[in-house]
Amino acid sequence: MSKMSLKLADDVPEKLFTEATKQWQEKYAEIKKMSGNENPYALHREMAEEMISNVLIVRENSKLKATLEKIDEFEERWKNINCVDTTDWSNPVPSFINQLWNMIQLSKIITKGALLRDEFRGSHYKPEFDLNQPSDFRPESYLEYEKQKDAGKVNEEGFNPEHLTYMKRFAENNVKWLKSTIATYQNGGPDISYEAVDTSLIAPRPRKYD
Amino acid sequence: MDSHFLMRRIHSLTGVVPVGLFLVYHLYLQLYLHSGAETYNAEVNSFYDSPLAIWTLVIVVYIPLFFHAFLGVRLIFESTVQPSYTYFSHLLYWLQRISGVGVLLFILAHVWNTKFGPWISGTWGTHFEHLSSGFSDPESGIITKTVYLLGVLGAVFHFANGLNTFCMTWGIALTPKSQIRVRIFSILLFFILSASALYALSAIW
Amino acid sequence: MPDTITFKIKRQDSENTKPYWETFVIPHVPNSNVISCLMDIQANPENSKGEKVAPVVWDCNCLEEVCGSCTMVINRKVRQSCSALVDQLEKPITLEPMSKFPVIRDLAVDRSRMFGALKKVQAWVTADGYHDLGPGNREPQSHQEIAYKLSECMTCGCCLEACPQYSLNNNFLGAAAISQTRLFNMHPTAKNIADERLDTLMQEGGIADCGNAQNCVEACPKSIPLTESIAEIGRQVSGKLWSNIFQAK
Repeated sequence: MSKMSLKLADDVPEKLFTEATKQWQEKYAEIKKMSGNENPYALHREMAEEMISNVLIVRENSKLKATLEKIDEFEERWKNINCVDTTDWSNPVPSFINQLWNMIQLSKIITKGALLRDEFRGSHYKPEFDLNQPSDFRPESYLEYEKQKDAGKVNEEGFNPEHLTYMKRFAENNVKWLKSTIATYQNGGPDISYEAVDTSLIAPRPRKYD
Repeated sequence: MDSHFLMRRIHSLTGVVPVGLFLVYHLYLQLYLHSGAETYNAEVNSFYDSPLAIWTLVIVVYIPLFFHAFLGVRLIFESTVQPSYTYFSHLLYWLQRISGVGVLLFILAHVWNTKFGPWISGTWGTHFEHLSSGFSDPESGIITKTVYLLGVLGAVFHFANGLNTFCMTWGIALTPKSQIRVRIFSILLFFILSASALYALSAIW
Repeated sequence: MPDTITFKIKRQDSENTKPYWETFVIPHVPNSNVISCLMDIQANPENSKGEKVAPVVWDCNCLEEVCGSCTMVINRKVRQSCSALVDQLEKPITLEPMSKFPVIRDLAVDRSRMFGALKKVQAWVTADGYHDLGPGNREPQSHQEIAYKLSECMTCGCCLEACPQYSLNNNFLGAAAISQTRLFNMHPTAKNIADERLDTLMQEGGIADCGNAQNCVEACPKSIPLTESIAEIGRQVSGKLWSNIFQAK
């Protein structure tokens, strides 16, 4: 058995803790000094309403774009927040203000990721990019189609032509979009890249939404 | 198991056995008030004729009774008054405590009036006459009657409702259904014992 | 329908300062609950005199009456504020912290005594050890039906707040812990230490401190048959009392 690389809290240099404590104490002191005219809870509520109206299940690129701009405004307004409670005992306001900043960053990631994805999957729906699944289509037939494709030859005559067109569209869409969205924090905002999804165990197939 | 638990359990037990049972016997004895002075006095005196009478009273009634009362009064100070919870059982909880204090005061007055008073004044033995003269006194009669009425009804309530709590404490009535049955039984018991007590009192009213 | 709702809130700035009442008037929103109204106050923390004040502090988590953290006294009765619908409450609405737990700030209280009580009665399944114990005993269906109801307890504190026997000055464990003792004493594995649990409940603060006011069962938001649990544990300790006397070791 190899030597265990067990690291205990005692092995961590004390400096790490004191610095982290100092960092957060300074951050909270900064937040407590915030004396603008935005109520953090009101701002949070406004942003929540914006996100719920535009970045929920049904998404449209034009609305997502407008929301992204709106979130930038919220970020600006965050800087003008008033820390409505500056007491030191059991005060939830400073940590809420700190969290609200992170919520703004996360909203940006969600909205930008959704905007750049010109398709929809999972529980989302983008009417602009509907692949128009025929109503009598059965997802199992896609597995047969994939099997034949993998074997090298698809017997196109064996499929309903409408279904076949849809399945081709579906396969094509997956080539482009069957990827995880990765966001990295760059220049004060999310930078979006993509990473392939491991589909080696279960082949992706269309879902029926009716 | 600590003494606290044991004391509470003894408190619960003494309320029913022997104090509660003594109350039932005592109320039964008072029905003789309707048989006239002679029979009543004979019945009561026959109990005191026994050489063990005084010991029986002390061991079976007074010690358990005052143990029950002492612990009970201490218990009241541990309760929090919360009038916004207007539930029937909560009302009974407070009536149990209030009646307990009331009955304790009544018993002290009652024992003084029917035992020590006659002993000191040397009129021991004429229980019927003592009681009825107290009841019919033109000045203090109405007070005596009121005190007896409240005292007796309080004691009966305290016993009947206490029996209900006893069944909870000892885990005799387990389910809500059987708890309701026990409650109905205790309500019936309250009315039966009250009727018996009021009937007895009516003889000298 | 009025367009505003008045809240009278009992506030307290810290553990050791005196409580005071503050009134807030907020716009009426149909179908709102007490928590959404407290959030309205947070968004505009201004009392009825027009003074800017610190937002009211309270605890909440699940917002669907399963976590118990938002328990407070609403219109003199204890309940969860998330499921207290404003349209069904008498106005003005009074909010107070629970009186049986130390106040931390405003409506937030320290409920750790309840969790301490669960530790005291060892309200857990005892399957310690590193070796494979194999599968546990199966629980009969008749037990499951009772146990499921008992397991709905969310340690919210309603039963203790309503209990006239439970106070800041005593050490009564209360209905919740007694009911959990019943749950674990009937569990096929956890019942191994049933006796230890009963031992705890046969001490000061244990089941003997129950006064049979039965407010607990009325106040329980989950309708847990608490008086049945108390009677059942009463039966179990009666048995143990018997064996302590007549089978003394």
